[in-house]
Amino acid sequence: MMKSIFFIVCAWLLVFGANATTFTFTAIPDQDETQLNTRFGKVAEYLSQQLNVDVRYVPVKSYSAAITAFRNNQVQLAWFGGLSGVKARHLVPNSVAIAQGYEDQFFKSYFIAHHSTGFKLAGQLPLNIADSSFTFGSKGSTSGRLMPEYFLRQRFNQPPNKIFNRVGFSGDHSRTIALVQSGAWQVGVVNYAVWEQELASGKIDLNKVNVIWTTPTYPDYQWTIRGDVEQRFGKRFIERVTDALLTMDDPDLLKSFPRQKFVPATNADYDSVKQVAKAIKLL
Amino acid sequence: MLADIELSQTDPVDELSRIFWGILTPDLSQTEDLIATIATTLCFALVAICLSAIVGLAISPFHHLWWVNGICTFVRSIHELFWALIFLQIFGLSSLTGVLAIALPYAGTFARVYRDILDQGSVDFNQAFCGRVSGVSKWLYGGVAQCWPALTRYTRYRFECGLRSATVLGFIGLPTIGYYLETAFSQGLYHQAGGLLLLFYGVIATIKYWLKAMLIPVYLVLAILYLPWKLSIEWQYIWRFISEDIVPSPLRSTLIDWQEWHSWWVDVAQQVFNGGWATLMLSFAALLLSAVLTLILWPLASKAICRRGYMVGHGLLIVLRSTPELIIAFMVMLVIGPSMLPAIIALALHNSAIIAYLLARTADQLPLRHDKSSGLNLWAYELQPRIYPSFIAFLCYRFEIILRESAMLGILGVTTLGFYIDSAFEAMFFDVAMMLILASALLNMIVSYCASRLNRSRQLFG
Repeated sequence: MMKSIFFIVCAWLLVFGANATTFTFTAIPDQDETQLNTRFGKVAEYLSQQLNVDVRYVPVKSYSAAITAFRNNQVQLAWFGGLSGVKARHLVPNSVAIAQGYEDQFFKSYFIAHHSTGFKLAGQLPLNIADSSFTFGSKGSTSGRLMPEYFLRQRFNQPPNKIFNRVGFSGDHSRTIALVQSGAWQVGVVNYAVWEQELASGKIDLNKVNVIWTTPTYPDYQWTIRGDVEQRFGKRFIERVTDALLTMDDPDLLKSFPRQKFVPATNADYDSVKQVAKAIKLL
Repeated sequence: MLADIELSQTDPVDELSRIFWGILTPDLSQTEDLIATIATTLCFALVAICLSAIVGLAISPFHHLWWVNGICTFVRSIHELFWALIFLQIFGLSSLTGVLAIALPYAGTFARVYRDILDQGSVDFNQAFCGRVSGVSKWLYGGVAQCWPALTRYTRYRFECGLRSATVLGFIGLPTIGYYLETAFSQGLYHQAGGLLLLFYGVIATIKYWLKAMLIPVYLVLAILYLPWKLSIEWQYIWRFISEDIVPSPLRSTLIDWQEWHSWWVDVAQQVFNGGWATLMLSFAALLLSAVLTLILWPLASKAICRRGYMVGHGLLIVLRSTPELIIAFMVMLVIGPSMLPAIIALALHNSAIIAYLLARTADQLPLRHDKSSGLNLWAYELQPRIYPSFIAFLCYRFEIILRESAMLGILGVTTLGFYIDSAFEAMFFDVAMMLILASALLNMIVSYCASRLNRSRQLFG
């Protein structure tokens, strides 16, 4: 009997005693996933100074792993994509979106095509892209999957696997560009920021691959925080975290996301994303 | 031919030359925590293999019972990556998640293969005992002791597989070498990817120099001390997973909407049939090509046939079997375009390299006569016929692995069962994922049942 009580107390201490005061966050940036620890370690340092609590960064690679960590309270704050944020807030009641990147208010995706297809930049998604091969980015990406799929369904009134003769998931925006540029896939869709960045760094040959359509804008990345943090870190903690994020102006820190600054956001800003996710059965 | 093997015109030269240039000029200076990454990979593999070998050995005497066999087949028909995603829901991103994700399916494999090894051992030992000897003693001193070299040889080989699995777990975020490899590779940082790959080949190639039987307990203690065991098993998450997450979504509310229930089943059934068909096509084609490639590859790594030159073959096999299939498939796809074909080639290259390695090792242990022939004749007329039973047995083992590895290749737009399971996990539809996992386990069990029936009839008539 004593033994089992002792065991329960020990287990309890391990569960609740460990790191009760560490505030943990995660972030999956939409481009440049290298050296996450070094880059976001600096962000953790900044937040720690602003909030006067111990802050730790946990690197997570997949959207679903990030959502799981958030749901299980292993991280309390996360830099989510549009879709993963909606999912996370759906699973964790009382969690709120507190800030988004300036660019995320009007995010967009580019449809790109290999030169051999002959498709040119157009004001509308060209109907004759049907019957080519088409690749999305990652399955859980907002700019590489969710919104493009929504626009495709709007235009063609059919799911992607009925429109195209083959549909793939490259898993990553950079890889989508590499695959369409090599002609392995004829048409693809990418996050506009990744395209611009790779274009600037000379990785894209415009004789081989080109933008054929720009999607309408939609909201994307945002910071989401668990509602129960105030019980652990004190009253007004959510407000303090929000302030710390909105006032972050060190270009070196912002470069990690990469965003020019953060602006306020609410759950309601993502209603459109939520509707779309429901409509194509991803929520 | 029913499989989807379309070829398309591409211009892959730029990207391929970038990849090869990257591998030729590796650069690891941009990789953070390199040492820690390798240490974590080794520790995961070591702890998981020790755990699963012990459990597997303990289960092996009962493997003939249909329900033990069923459970073993079930746990190993689920890819390590999916086990990791399941444990992630329960234990979070902890060492336990990584270790269990490898140890569980491996225990199923160990139970089966240990049993096969023990069965192949001589049966005479039962007569060697006199007086009253307990079953445990007979099994331990008669069976296990007699087959000890074969058992350790197999376990050592599985350690290499464990390293590969630990690497793959990095793809979802556990801090192993795969974590950085996947990032570098998907972002086109081929210098870094090349460096990491070469490093990984190096680790695999030198296993026999540092993995000594005497040192394993020391390594094991070090590994357990090294891994962070922040054990926070939260029963509420386990309970939530069982009572909520995996319950079909239309059944979760008290008022069951039959319309919804119906459409849920239609949706799942469609995925099962589409995915099951594609998975079978892909796996059979990959198995056939593996068999052909194995016949060509194994002699290259055999000392008896190639003499000194076997080191070259050995190196080739290490490269082929240690490169994640995803990377091979990506490179093949750049050349011939997306279809089932790059998947078939990637799976076949990877698996034939593994079988070839095992066969070459088996062949080199066969006693040969002094007047043996050499080279091609030795291969075709003596060694190949003599190792034929092992060849078939290894192919059968690898088949179920090919079946579940096909999950990794969604990048090719091939909708296998694994593709749908991955999609369900990504969308966090655990109820759908569970159904699909059950379906793929069932498929796996049917295939392995047919294979064992086939094996039995072959023994009867051949």
